[in-house]
Amino acid sequence: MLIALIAIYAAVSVNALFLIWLERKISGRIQRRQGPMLCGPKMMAQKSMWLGGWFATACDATKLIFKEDIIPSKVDRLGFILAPIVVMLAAIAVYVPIPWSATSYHQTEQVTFAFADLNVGLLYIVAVPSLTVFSILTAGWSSNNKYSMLGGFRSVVQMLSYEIPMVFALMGPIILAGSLSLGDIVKAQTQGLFGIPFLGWFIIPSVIGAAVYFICAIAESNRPPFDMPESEQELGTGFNTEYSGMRFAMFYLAEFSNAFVVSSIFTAVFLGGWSIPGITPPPELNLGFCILPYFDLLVGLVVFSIKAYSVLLILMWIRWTFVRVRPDHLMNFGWKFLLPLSIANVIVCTVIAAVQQIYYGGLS
Amino acid sequence: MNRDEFIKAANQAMPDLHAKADTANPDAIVVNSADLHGLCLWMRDDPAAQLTYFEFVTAQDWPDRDEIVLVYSLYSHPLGHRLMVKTALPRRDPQIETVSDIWEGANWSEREVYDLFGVTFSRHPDLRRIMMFDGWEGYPLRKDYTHPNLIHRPE
Amino acid sequence: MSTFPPNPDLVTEEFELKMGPHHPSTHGVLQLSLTLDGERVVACRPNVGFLHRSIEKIMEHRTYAQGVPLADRVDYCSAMTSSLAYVMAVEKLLDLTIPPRAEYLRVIMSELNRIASHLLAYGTFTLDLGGTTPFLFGFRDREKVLDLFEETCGARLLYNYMRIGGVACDIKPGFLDRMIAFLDYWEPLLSSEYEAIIDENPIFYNRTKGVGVLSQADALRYGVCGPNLRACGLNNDIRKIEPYSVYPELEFDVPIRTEGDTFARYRIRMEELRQSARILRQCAEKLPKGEYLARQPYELKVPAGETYVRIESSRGDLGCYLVSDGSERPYRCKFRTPSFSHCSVFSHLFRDCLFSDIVAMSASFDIVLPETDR
Repeated sequence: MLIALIAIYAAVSVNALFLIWLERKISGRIQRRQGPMLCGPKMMAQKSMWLGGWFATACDATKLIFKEDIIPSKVDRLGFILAPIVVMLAAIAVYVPIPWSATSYHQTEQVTFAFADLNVGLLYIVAVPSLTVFSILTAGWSSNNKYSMLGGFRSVVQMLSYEIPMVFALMGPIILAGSLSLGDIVKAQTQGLFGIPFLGWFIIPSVIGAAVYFICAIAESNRPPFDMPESEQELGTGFNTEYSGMRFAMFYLAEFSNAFVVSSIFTAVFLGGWSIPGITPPPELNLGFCILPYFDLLVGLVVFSIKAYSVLLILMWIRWTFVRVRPDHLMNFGWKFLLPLSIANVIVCTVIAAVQQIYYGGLS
Repeated sequence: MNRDEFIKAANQAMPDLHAKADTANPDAIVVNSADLHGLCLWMRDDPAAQLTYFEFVTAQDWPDRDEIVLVYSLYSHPLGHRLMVKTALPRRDPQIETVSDIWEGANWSEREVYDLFGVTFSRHPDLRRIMMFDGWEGYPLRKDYTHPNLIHRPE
Repeated sequence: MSTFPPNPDLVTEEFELKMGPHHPSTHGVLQLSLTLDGERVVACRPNVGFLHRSIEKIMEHRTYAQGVPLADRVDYCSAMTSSLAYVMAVEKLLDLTIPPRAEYLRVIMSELNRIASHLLAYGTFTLDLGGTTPFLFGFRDREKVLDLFEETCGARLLYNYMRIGGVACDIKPGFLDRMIAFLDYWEPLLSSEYEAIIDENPIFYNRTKGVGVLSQADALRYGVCGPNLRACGLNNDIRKIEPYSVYPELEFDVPIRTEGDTFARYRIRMEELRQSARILRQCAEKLPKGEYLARQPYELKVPAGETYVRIESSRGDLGCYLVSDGSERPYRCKFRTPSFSHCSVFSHLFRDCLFSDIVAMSASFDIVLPETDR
């Protein structure tokens, strides 16, 4: 069990490091910068533009690991030390129910490949990231710094108000799939809508919900343009101003890990997860037996990764082109625009689900 | 309005003013320090003057004449003319009434003169040092200012 | 300007925040003592002087020619214009005639520096709003302008290019072609990149439109000048109202807006960039041949007297008030700097607004602290 936990931790960290490199590359391409594209040993950079730039991330990570761990004397030590740990824990824990793929190999029915396919998976992935609120507030408060405190406050306000439209946005897929389990939600998307397999992805019936969720997800993961709690130019990186070394790195890794989680959830809930519409066969065919053992599992993993990283690229694209939203505009947008919209989405989805139920038989 | 017309108009409006043309500066007039505030008020509000734009106030320190000369520079955007007003103060305890109630922009300019020349502006709302930190001793732009770290260039 | 009035139903406690001098968006070392009520700013007291180098005092101990590099340091983001004000003041006292080629070279360098400075202003303004990409656009092209400076005078930031009587050196062969090539490359980018990335963006629009509105009367009261005053609807461009150098021979417009808000101040700078490019193209055509420096005696003695010269620097009217007592050193040299006035207006403007607005507003004034503190 311990080994599995360490493996997950390592996987999350390495993935986050990879994402940092990717983010740098994207920003370098958008901003036409040389550094993130070419930085690294000359050979590698010359061989392929795609490999260049990894050196910066490696240096960054090395620097953060070897940096002196400074705990300012006036901070509240307990909160200061706990906060990054809780952030990291929440970031890792949220990986648990994500359905990476599914397999029918040696099984009577299709089994979702996840750390644990919880039957309340969707509730879980909404609830666990909320732990971040506590730790960011704790970090801001315990730092004994006014900027950090403002950052902590902003984060609470932002995360709490965006959680509500986010949950409403996720209600649509829940109604359509009739289940809270993420595995079931993905399976429901392989069935198709109104008998047409290509309409299966929930982004089609619940397009408003997808848009609302996407916006809320950016806000939840504190990424620009909703990076109010950090806002370098106003609060001097806000809640993590006083942090350095690995403690800071934990916030940093958690942020990138959260971005990946958010796009994974978006993939699973709205983009059909590991399925390809019209191609991914229904579980009865048991394609897994035909070609290779666990072949369907591998295909599913690849498809899921492609979708999740595509969503992530859009997140990065938004990050590097938008300016930051003002806190009051953020609140107005969340409460007065997104919330009504997401409630409307629930109604739309209910109608669609009812039509589907009556005319085309039950959903999964 | 050029300088001579200005002197004429000002002396007409304020008979006790006795404004004179300055010898060194072709734009400047010279008045007594006690009359300055009244003159400034008139210059801002008079329709022929309309000197609504305060550019700066600065000082010159003349130890041999034992005086500090304040120079106010004013400009009128609607009429496109400028005027400088000079007034002399004694070097020991120079005091003058503030004009920051007339032009808000004079506030910081006067603080700078107070900081670097030691001219006290009475009725100034916030007369603190602005460039040097609080508790600095001496007034750096005075000619006789010395500081241990200030090394004079050999002639 | 009361966009965020206090809420009487909400009992809160105010707290003090010293923003700066070490803060990413105070553009150097400005300190804003803020009284905050949550996110709302109740009062603001700007403190300056952290970068005071007593340039005016040092100048009194240097000869007139030695004052030029010091004048550069008054405004290091636009060093060409600040030293231009100084040498023009000395020339006015000397009653010196400048060779026409030198005048044109001065205008070329001033306008190039205006472009560099406005690109910096654009970059830092958008960075303060949270946009890193426009910031890098601005800096990327600013480097290209600095390349032009470097090939001319060997420096990228503090040029020491202006001389009493002309300029330090002639331009290198092919400079004008490279300058025009830069303009050809960069001018289309203004609309296709710089403005495209933020102008139509609703987030940017909402954050700047109607934020930090400064009325013309208030702006005049505080001595606001330059692009910031033109954003309040007053044509105060010294190049037009008190023309100096060869500006009367050049055709250009003065962009004016009446809103007086953050967006207007930003737009004025973008329009000025285009006008600067227009001036540069004309200069490249009209640049006469001849001397670039009116030779002066090594030990320059300036006749006694005093003068005040003001020019349109990148930030507004930069004045140099020079007093000579007939010796080879200035008796008193005072720089009237635009950023000084702009910083003083903050106490009036930063009231009943949001904390996030402060960075947007202060950046839109394009303050440069070395200029404030001198």
